[in-house]
Parts: sequence; C-alpha cells; structure tokens
Amino acid sequence: MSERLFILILFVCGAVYLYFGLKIEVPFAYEPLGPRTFPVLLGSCLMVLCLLSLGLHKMTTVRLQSGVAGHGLAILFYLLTFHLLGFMLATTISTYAISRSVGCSWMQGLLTGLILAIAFYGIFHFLLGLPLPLGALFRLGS
Amino acid sequence: METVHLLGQGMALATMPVNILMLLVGITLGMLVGAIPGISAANGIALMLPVTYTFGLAPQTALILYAAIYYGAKYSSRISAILADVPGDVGSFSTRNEGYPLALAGKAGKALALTAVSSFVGGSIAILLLTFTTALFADIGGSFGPAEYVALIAFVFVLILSFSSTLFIKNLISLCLGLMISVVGLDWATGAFRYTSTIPELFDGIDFIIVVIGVFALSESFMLMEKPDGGRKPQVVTAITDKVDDLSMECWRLKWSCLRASIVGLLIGILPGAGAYVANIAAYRFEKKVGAGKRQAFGRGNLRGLIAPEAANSACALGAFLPLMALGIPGSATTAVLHGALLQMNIDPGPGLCRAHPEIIWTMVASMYLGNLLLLLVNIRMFRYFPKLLAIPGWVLMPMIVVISFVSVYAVSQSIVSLLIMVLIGLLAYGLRKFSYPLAPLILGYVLGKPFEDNFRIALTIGGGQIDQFLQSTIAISLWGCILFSVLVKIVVQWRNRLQPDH
Repeated sequence: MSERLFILILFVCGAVYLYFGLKIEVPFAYEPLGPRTFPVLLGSCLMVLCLLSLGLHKMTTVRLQSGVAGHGLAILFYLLTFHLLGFMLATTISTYAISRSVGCSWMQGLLTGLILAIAFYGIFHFLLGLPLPLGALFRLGS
Repeated sequence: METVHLLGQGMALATMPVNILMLLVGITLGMLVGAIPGISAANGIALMLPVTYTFGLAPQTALILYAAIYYGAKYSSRISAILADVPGDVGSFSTRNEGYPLALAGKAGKALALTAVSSFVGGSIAILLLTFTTALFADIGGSFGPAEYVALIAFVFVLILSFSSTLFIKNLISLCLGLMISVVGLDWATGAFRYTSTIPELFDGIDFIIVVIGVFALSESFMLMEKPDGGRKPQVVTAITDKVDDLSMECWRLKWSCLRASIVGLLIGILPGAGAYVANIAAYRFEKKVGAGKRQAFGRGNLRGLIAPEAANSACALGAFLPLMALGIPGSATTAVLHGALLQMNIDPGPGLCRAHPEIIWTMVASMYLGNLLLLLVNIRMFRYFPKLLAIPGWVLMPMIVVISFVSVYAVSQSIVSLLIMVLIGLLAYGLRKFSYPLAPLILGYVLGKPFEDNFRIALTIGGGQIDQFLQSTIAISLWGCILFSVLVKIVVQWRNRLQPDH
C-alpha cells in the first residue's frame, strides 16, 4: 500500500468531515463562535495538510503483508460474530485463526483459544459481574 | 513545611492496604508489559481501564495503579534491550548499544543490576523534584481562567509539534486527526449534535477507552503481526550465569554519569512533547561526548553508556508527571491516557487540579516513593527470572491482545457499534504508524481538544466576541510569548537544517 493512497483516504475523510461540519445547524446562536467553526476549520485543515504533504515530501510504499491482511480478516470475523456466535465460540475460532497464522501447531492454537475464551468469560462474568454475550444463534430455538 | 505535611498525609493514604495492593499489582503488570517487546505502558494502562471502572476504585487508588504500570514499564523495558537486543519500549532504545554486548560477554546479571540502580536514582531525583515543585505550581494554576487555559493548551500543542522527531507536517496531520475525533458528540453550549447521526453510542463523544484501546492496543497487534517473533535476534541470552555480589563500589564510581543523565532526562521529561525516547538517546549521546576517551570504547559494553540512558529514561518518565499534576496538562502519550482516566472518574484535570484535589496528587507522589523502592528491590533480587518473561510465545500474546481489546471495550459500552469504532480507529492508527506518523499528537489532540474548544469559546463569550480577551492577563501574555518563541526557534532550526542538507 502506498502512502499516496493513505493520504488520499485521509483527504476524502477531511472532505466528508467538512461537508457534514457545514451541515451542523443550531436554531439560535448563543455565542460568537457557534458549534460549526471548529469542525469546518479542522476538516479544511486536514485537506490542506494532505495536499501539502502530497506535494512536499517523498512518498514511501509499504507492501501489505499477507499475515497482516489475514489478521485484519480474523478481527473482522471476530467483530461480526461477537454477538451472533457468542463470546466463547467467536473467541475460540478467531484466536485459533490468529495463533495459527503466527505459526503454531493446531493443538497449541486450539488450547490457546479455549483457555482464553473460558478464562476471560469466567473473569468477566463471575469476578467483574459483566455479562458477555452468550450467542444470539443459540437462542433461536427457545 | 507545608509540603512535608501534605506528603505525610499522602503517605498515610498511600499505605492503606488497598493502595498498597494496587501498587503491587501495578508494578507487576508494568514490569510485564515493559519487558515484553511490543507492548508498551500505554497498552497496559488502556487494558486496565475497564477493570478499575467496574471495580469502582477510588480515583487515587486507580491513579496509583496506572502510574505504577507506567513507571514499572519504563523501569523494565531495559530487560529485553539487554538480553535480546530489542527495546521493550521505545524508552530503552539506546540501552541496547552497551547492554547487549555485555550480556553476550556473560555479564547480563551485572548489567541488569547496575541499570536497576541507575533507574532508581533517576526516578528518585524526579520524585524529589515533583515533591518540592508541585505546590509552587499549584498556586499559579489557581489563577488560570479560560483564556489562560487556552494559551496553555496551545503551548502544549506547539511543543509536541516541534519536539516530535518525525516530519513536522506528519505531526500536524496526526494532531488534526486527534482534534477531529474530539469534536464528535454533543456540543455543550448549543445542544447541537456533531457527527453523531442517530447512533446513541456517539452522543456523548467517542469514549476515551475506545480511542485508547484502538490507538494503542489494536494497532499494536497489527504491528506485531508483521514480525511474529517480535523481531528478536536468534542469539537471545536465556540464562544469567554471572554472580553479582558487590555492586556498591561500582555504583559509587559511576555516580556522576548517573546524575548527569538523570538531569538530562528530567529536563526532557518536564517539557511536554519530547518523551522517553528522546531522553534515552540524548543521555546516551551526552555521555558518549562527555565520557569519551575514558576507559573502554562505547558500543562494546561501556558501563557509563549502559547506565546513563536508563537513568534518563526513568527520570523522564516520572518528570512527565510534573506538568500533569501541577497544571493538569499531559505532555506525552501515556500521561495523556492518565489525564483521560481522570476525566473518566469525574475529576476535572485542569490547572486547578492540584488545588481542588490535593489528596489525589499527594497520595500518588507518596506511592511513587514506595513504588520506586519496591522496583529496586524486585529488580536487584529477582533478575535471574527475567529471561522467563521473554519466553512468552507470540501465538499466545497476539490473540490475547485482540481478545482483551474487545472485552475491554465491550465492558464499558456493551455494543457492537463501539467495537466497530474501536476497530476502525485501530486500523487508522496502524496506517499512521506504518507510514511513521507519531501517535502522541493524536492522543493529546483527542484528550485536550475538548477543553481547548470549550475554553476558547467561553473566553470569547466572556469577552463579547473580542479577540483581545486572550491577552488580558500577564500569564496569558507570557504563555503566548513562549508560543511565539518556540515557533521562532523551530523556524530557525528548520532553516539551518535546510542550509546544511547533509547534516
């Protein structure tokens, strides 16, 4: 991935930020500046800075490693299944995937996944009193 | 005299069982996150935030915990620098130069013990300074109004922009992104919702824990993925064999190097923006210049070059607390996290912090004395077990960071949207790190953005829209003068660098 692309993404973010900043409206202004000034200023600042840095300094290119991409996918999977499969199952599967991609045997990966899932569920559920999701999928039948 | 009295009260609070317990937990955790390359102090604190939140710890107890993680990590980041030639934290970058050769020569135990002593000395000097100057600053802080606060925050921004070692424009982009994140949420003055759409999770702004975990923990797991073994060299010293019995003579011989480096580190630590990385390297170079020609060459296990960066590192880490405690202004990424943690506990960290909550400040200072002493004892007595700390395999570490990140965020908000925001911020932070943008301006911008905007607008409202409201008091004028001066210095330095491109 090249830095140019990254800056372009930031530039687009700045533009979107500016657009929605301009749309902030208040029925009545109580004070001289209002809520719109800072967002508009920041959005345009980011756009100008992106343009400047495109023109001013040398761009580097970084190759997106397959391990990192896989890690991203695993996190995405974890995020999507966190509620659906429940904490235990989602954690076991994603942890297994991440561990395997770092290079361990399937047994080590599975054990890491299971231990992490059960340990964290236990800590959060019983010690801290915070319920973690059990899984929407399993409640379909009941 | 008043200082001694306040410190005594702080000590009484700090020695309460729960505070001692948290100090122990913090130091253990700090040593752990510091020793493992890739996980930094900010990560450790970020991951502990929800725990203190759910246990409902008192503010001073929570701060003792966070501070202990912070300086514990800075203390122990030398371990992997010496044993494996990989700094455990950026703050031990230069320690490798002399520490690793010593370890290869079979003197790992001596190196670890000596650096433990020098870290202790550096830390103690910083804590002494904290004790005797915080009260002075607190009096100044009491006379801060909105206009002065705006000038102070602007000063911090200017300093962090000019001190970061990366390109200036990259610092600016990072700061801008941080400020942009801070704007999200309900606007206090007008009741306008900004960038919230209809997502209730955003109404109150993007939660502090979400930002910190995304920026530090999740992006870290991506960075670790690039080199699953932590970038370790094959030749890691796994067992400490040498005997360490009498170090007092050695320590006494090196006292001046240690003191010099501590003062360098302390000065860098007090100024917002520079941080432990700069302190570490500066102390090493300074020592190299001053101590050159004496005894053996640098780079092959010189003891002066070994202890100087570590003393500076510790002094800097604790010195960074001075602006935070005296004026409520964070100067580095980790103190920014502490600043945000205070906000989480409904304490307004600002110039009035030391005046409004002396008990918090002094309990923390008192616990630092205890913590520093404990760290010295642990590090001198137990260094033989340190190689074990480095043996945690990557396939346990990495999934653990991911799971803890998710669980921590879920613990505070119980919603998938928050998790999604955390992942998005993590990806952004990974991109920033990948292209060597600094993260400290981002987190400072996020933490200080809200008070900056709010106070700016309050000051304008008080002054009826007149801009000269910002130049009414002596404090404000002198702060703006400092800002102008820093900008001028920065321009001159840039100009001279441009004239000598090969330098």
